[in-house]
Amino acid sequence: MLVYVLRRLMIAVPVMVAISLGAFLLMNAMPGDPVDRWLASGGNTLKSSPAALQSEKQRIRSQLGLDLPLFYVSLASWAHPDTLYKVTNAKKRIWMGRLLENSGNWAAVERFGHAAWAYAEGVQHSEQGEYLKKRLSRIVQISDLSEMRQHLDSLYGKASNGCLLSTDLCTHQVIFLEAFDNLASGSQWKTWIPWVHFHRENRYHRWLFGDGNWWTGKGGTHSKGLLRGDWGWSIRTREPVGSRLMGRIGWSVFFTLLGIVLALAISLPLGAWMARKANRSFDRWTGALVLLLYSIPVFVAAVALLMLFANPDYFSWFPVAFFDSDRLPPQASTWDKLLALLPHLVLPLVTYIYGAFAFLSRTIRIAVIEVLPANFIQTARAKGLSEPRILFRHALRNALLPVVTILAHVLPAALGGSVLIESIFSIPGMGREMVMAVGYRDYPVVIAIVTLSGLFSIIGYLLADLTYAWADPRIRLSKTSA
Amino acid sequence: MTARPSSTLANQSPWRLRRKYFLRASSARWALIILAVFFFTGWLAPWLANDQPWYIQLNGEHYYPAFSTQKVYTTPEGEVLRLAETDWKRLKFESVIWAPIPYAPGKTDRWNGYLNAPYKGPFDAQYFQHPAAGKQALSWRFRHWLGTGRNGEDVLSGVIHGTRSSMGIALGAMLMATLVGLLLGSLAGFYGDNRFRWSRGILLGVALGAFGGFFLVFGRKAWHWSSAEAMENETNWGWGLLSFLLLLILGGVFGKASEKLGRWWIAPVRLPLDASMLRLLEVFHAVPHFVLVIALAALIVTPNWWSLVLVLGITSWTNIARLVRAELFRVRELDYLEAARSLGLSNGQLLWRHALPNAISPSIVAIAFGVGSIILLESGLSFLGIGLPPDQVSWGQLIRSGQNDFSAWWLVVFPGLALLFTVLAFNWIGEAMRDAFDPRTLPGSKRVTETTEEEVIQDIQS
Repeated sequence: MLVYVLRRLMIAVPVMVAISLGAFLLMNAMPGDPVDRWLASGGNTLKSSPAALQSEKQRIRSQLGLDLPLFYVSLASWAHPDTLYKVTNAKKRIWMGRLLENSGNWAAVERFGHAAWAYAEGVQHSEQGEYLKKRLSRIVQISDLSEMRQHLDSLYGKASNGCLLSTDLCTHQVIFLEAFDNLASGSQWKTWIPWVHFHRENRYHRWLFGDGNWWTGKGGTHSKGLLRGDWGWSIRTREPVGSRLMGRIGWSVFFTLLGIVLALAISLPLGAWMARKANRSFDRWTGALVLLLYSIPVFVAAVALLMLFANPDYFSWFPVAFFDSDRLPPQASTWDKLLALLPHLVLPLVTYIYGAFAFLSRTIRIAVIEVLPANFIQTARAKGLSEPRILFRHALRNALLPVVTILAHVLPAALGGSVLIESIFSIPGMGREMVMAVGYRDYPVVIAIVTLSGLFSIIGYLLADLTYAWADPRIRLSKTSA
Repeated sequence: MTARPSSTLANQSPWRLRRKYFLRASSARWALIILAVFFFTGWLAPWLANDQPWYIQLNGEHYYPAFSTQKVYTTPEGEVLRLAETDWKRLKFESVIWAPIPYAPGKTDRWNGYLNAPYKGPFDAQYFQHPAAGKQALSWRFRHWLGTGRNGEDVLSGVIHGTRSSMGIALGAMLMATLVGLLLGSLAGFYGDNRFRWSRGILLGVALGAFGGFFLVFGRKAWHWSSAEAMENETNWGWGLLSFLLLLILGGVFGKASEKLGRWWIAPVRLPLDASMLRLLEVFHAVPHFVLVIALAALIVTPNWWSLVLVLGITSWTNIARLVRAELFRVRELDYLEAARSLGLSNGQLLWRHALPNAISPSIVAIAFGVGSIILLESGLSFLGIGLPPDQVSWGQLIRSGQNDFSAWWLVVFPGLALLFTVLAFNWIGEAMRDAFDPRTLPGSKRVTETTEEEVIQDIQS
């Protein structure tokens, strides 16, 4: 048994690492600039002067770890510097990257690129006419070298006396032409040689271990690291992700557990009874009804329930919005709070139950049908036990084993997975948080939820397998022979 | 005249028997009918529900706007009709044939919706504004049979076009999931951990090819994958994939050639296909499907049909892979396969011609259930507003719009019913197939394995 547990654990750890790694690497590629979203989420705290805004952006960038490379290893070409990721503007980064692909000389690309980009931005804010602006700022859209040469030639004229368009262009003439000459004479072949870069400091490392000493955690300024319980910052709410999720997880667990328990209370007797009446009209009709229920999408059922029972046109029995303890008078007792909470629970619970109940009763029916022909049932019958007693005491007990496995699979899935129900009934749980995080592209929260739900699933599966191995000796026995 | 062989059990192929048993279930027959209706509705949606007429006669000229790819018409008077913008119902024609549902999805009908009176129900009085006579009751031909949305969008037209997106996306995603699942599952199940061997030369060649391909597609243009936008706009995925595969094959060929170099290069290396596939399966399996799907959907800059097919497809292959693997574990030990092997057939032939056809039936059942669940996933995504873009109608989106006003029940009920029947039909088909494929139902055939519990144990073992 111990060997079995250890073996399972040894498999679970790499899977967990793979999930967190995959989630981290993928979600960091979310479109858009996280710094802009961070600034936008704060409302009216925008800095007045451009310089102040720049330094604020820089601060956020380092707080979120965006000034670091993504991972320990990166594959690039020989010409590729390991500093391109530091170009923060995505458009500029892509443009400079393409220039580099065509030239191969990073120093020249860097010099030319920064100068041209700054110049083109300056032109946009200047008093020039629209046509001129368009022409002058085209520099930063060209990545083909011969096209760029033509464009520069046409700007400056064949002889270098062409400062006719704007005096500002003249001051940039030297740097443009010189840097471009270097750029064009670069060693393009270098871009065809693979080069592996290693980064000791990177985002993944910081996410896992924090930016201090990786073992003791001392000396960190921005993050303590996941291993010390720090999940990073939420971009949408500017809160630590960990504490934000801590407040959400309770509702999800509450609803899932209560829903499953209630669903089991209905589906155990129903499933067993359906199995006893297998292929007779009771079984057929209930089976059809259950399949019908199972096929109604959860969100359709939820909206329909709200329309019917939380609508002044029909039955205004239950509230639409979820429970908000702030609405109650401050002197309200716990009992009052519970009483006020109750009507908010009914519709969500009904939705939770019906989906799980349909699935569970079908599973239980099949499991009991498999058990019923067994010898010990015949024995029980021969002893003269009553039929319900045989069914519920003997058959159901032995049929519970697959149900245990399914429960262990259902629980972790529901923990992160009741996304739709939570969104519809505005229950402040993990699923709703996930939807809001995805809507805002709040990637630290998405990474945390994906990793957490993976962790819970793996623990759940582990428990299920252990229960199974503990209950069914064949598994342990056949393991040694395999 | 030779007598036709009578249909005895002996000359009936298992597939013919399965089809017979499948069609015997009345639910399966109903499901097929329902699905056929939905399929053709979706297929013909642009012609069934369209605000552009099928046929018009204008100043003696004949036009077929709904069937035409021509986007702009100029009438002899010089009036320009733009298909997408023209309010066709305001125009005077000599003769006209409207589409059965003369409304396009998502288009505003300002007299039966919009600011003054949003949401018209199926039974409410509906109006139109006659240029001369003013407000008049709408004739039955132009009635919104299933009501309208906030801005007068026709619900029936939305449901019809929603069928198109739901069915299209679900079938596409399932096709992709099936291909991936069959490939990975059969490799893992047939070869297991011990049977797949490559010589060191080939292995090195392929590894080098993969490295080179990765470098060409990603490494050389490292700035591409700095963000999803860049990956979507900059990377040429078609060429990337092609050059990657080419380099892979090239590496394999060079590797094969390198076997001539000496003993060291020929030595076989065992590749644990089964174990690696299982780890991958576990990673996908551990994250709840819907959470995984919405996390991946967040990476997409401009969602469309293809991106949804991709996201739903690469997350739905696990069931099929698992089932094919488990079946192949059973089949590959059977005697007939041993016999075929002794005839000198190659591994590929054994797998493709002999093992897979006998291992595929559980995954066909899984495909039927899978399409239903993908439809649910897709409409769930659209319901949350992270699926298709707002200008493309889908069932989930209609239901979402019903959430804004609880008195507009028709916005939830009709798309909900369409969703329910589609999913139900796929579930019925799945159930009927499962019964028909069960060896216990085939007369004259012996049961090959014990029941599912064995498989469960097998799964936990591995």
